[in-house]
Amino acid sequence: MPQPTLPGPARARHEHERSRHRLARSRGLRTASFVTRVTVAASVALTGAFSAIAAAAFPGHGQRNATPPYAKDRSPAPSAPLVALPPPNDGIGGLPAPPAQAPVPGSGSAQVGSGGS
Amino acid sequence: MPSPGATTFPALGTTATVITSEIERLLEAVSIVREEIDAIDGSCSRFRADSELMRLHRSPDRWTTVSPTLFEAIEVALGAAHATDGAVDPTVGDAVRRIGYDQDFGRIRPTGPPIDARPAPGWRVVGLDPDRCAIRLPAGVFLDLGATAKALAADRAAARAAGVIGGGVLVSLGGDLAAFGDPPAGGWRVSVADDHREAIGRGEVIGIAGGGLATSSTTVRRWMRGAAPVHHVVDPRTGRPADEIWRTVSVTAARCVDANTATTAAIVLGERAVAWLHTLRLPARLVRTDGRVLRLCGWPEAAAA
Repeated sequence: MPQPTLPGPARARHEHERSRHRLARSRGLRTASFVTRVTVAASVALTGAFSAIAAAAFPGHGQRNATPPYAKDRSPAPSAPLVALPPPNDGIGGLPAPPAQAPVPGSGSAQVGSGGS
Repeated sequence: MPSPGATTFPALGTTATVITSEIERLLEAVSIVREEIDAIDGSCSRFRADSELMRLHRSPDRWTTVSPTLFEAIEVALGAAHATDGAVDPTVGDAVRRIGYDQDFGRIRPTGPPIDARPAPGWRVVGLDPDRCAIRLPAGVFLDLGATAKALAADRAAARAAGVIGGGVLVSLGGDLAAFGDPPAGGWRVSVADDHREAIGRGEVIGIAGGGLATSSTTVRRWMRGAAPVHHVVDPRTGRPADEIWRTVSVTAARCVDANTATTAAIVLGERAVAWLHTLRLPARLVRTDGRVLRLCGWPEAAAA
């Protein structure tokens, strides 16, 4: 079915109305976009400000009290060791090391005794 | 061939023996050994109110600057705890007092009430600041450096004396011994037994070229609490004397500290000690409570003394 056509003056008014509506919608969208950006920026700024205030009001644990790598249980953080002990087989502090020479059967009388004391 | 020199004197609640490969250097070596013993005793004794360790106990929850000697002793004790996964732990001080070992052994009461045991707080609670040579103990934590400090004294004394006199030196503190410098032909001859005072003439004799040899035993330093016999090797995890699987354990190692750490840990670990000593390749002699002997990692069948 063919579409009805408007007479000239009526069509001009119709086009004018459509154009006015498009402009109004564009202005509305720009306004909404601006409000959104301002809201996001304000939220970020306020979050930072409140975080700084909270951090200053309730200081937490610093690095000094951090649990060292090997202090994993029963360790009250403030008194935990601050240094790692020497690695195994690196002198005192490592695993007990065997003697340079194995003991041998003794010959003759003993010079000294070893036992419980 | 030079003739060796030897002398014995009281020290650290037990006896000290110094042997030099040349008798002419004995007095000089003894002087050095006495200095080292005095340094350890003044720093680490828990039976002297004026010791540095007792002063540290009176200043809990704060960093306290200590002498290099006490710092080293605590560092070594924590190293032993680290190496044994806590089987040897210096924070057993309170547990040792609770079982009645609260003064020199010769003065403790032979009987007393049943033990009110508590586990050791654990070596990780001890703060160690090497930059300031400072220690921090939480309130209620007391150290007992007995498992390592005497051995450390033997190591320090023998190493320093050997360095100064230029010959071989053996230092024994209550049967925990360290040897540095050139050994005599056939090595230093050591008799091993349950009690170091009875070892010569009754124990098995072995020869060592140097390093450390220590023996821990539950047959000495015994007393009663309640109806139960008590010995002085405490299991840090229970705060009670360790179960008696081995009555005596001897170990040779690179140092006396290593050897004493291993013997104490073996008493505490019980049956698990065999695999642990094998892993570390430590020559060891373990005596069960019924007298059966187990020799590990090259510990020799020894001739009778």
